[in-house]
Formats: sequence, C-alpha cells, structure tokens
Amino acid sequence: MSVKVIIPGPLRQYTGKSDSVVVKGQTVEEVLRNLTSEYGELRKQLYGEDGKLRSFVNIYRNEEDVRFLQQEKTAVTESDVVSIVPSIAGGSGLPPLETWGG
Amino acid sequence: MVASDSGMSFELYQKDKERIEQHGAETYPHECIGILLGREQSDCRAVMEVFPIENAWNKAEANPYEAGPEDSTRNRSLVDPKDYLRAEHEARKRGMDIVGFYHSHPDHPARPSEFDRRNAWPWYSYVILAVENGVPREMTAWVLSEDRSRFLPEPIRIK
Repeated sequence: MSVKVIIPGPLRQYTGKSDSVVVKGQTVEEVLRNLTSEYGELRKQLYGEDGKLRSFVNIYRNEEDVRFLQQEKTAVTESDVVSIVPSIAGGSGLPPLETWGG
Repeated sequence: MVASDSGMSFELYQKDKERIEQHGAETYPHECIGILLGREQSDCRAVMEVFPIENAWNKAEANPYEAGPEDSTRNRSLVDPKDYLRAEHEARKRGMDIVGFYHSHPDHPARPSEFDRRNAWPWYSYVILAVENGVPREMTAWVLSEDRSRFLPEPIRIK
C-alpha cells in the first residue's frame, strides 16, 4: 500500500526538493521507515539518538496527531495523507520590562 | 545587499505588513503569531498572504517545550500544529507554500532571542515585530543559517 507523505520546506533538501513523496507502508512506522531508508539524511532530522521521533516533529495522519492515535503503530490506507509538521515557537524569552530598551 | 544577509530578498505587501502590526497591537502585552504563505523564486521569497492564528503556548497538548517559571504568552509564542496543517492545505490549494512565520516581541526589540534561534528551522523566514506599549515599531525578517548557529537578516521589501 502506498501513502503520500507531505514534506515541510526545511526538510525538502533531503528529499531531492520534493514537497511530497509516495512511500509504501501499512502503519506510520512502516511509512517513516521506508521514507528514511529512501532518503537517509531525513532520519536524523526526524529521530533522536534514542531512536524515538523527536518531540519537535509532529506526525499527522490526515487531521490527527498520531500521538493521540496509536502513535507509530497507527494504521494508514491509500486514501490517507501523512504530514510531517515541524513545531514552531518563538518569543523574546525575557520577562516584561518596565521600560523599553529599544 | 550586505555580505552577511541571507542573499534572498523578502517581499511583503503593505497590507500584510499592516495586518501583522494590527495583530501585534491587538494581542499586546501578549505575543502574537502567524503563518506566512507565499511563493519562492530563485532569489526572491514573496509573501502573498498572512494567516494570523492564536498563540498556542498555553495549550498543553500542542506544546512540546519546557516552560520556565517566567514563561507565558507575554514572552513565548507557539503555532498549534492543527493551524499549521490548515494553513498548509490553504497554501497548496492556491499553489502557494508555507514560507515562514511571524511573531511579536512585546516591549522588546525586533531581534531574535536565543529561544528563537534554538527552536527555529532553516529555510523558513521568521518575521519579528517589536511592539512598544501597544504600538507596533520595527519589523525585521530572518532566516536561520544551515548549521543553525545564527540568524541571517533578510531585508524586507514592501510592495
């Protein structure tokens, strides 16, 4: 079974600039394994040294975060789309100032 | 162009600049955040539309970051992945892409913080708006270097 995986901009340098890739698999785990064996450089972007998916990388099956389904064991079918969604955060990180330093 | 910038020009419509400023003023003293949809050509990244969203920092299920005692929506901002997906669908429908994000720094300069750098991804453009006492001030744009060590400025060209 083949499933479409959507690749976000920062990771396309590892997929030959493709913004989506079709790979085989019946679970999210199989899909990601096949994806990262085809595009080896993606592996360290998606997985930490402990072999687990990085916490700043979210994997969605259609509109649902697989963390709230069966995680990597979540089943996929040909009509599903798997999206790699990077966590995006920012902020001054500083406590509010009384006066603005400009 | 100076040698230290990203080498890419960054274009923003005046109406979108004003929308970001309005968002920053509305959410003050809290940080605003939003998604930039656009297109990329060889040496130019053009924002075609801004997608203001809710700052999801306080949504525990969406937040993978460790929050310190002083961290709140006054100094942190987060994109809910569900908003990211919505924006991505919209972008693809219209032949665009998510090209970056914006957020505000209430009562702090429009310069990337260490938190911004540590949590940024290469390739995306990051727009930062300083908001002083509720009034939008300087707006800057940045792209993370490939080795993730520093942000490179992207000069903003207003259309």
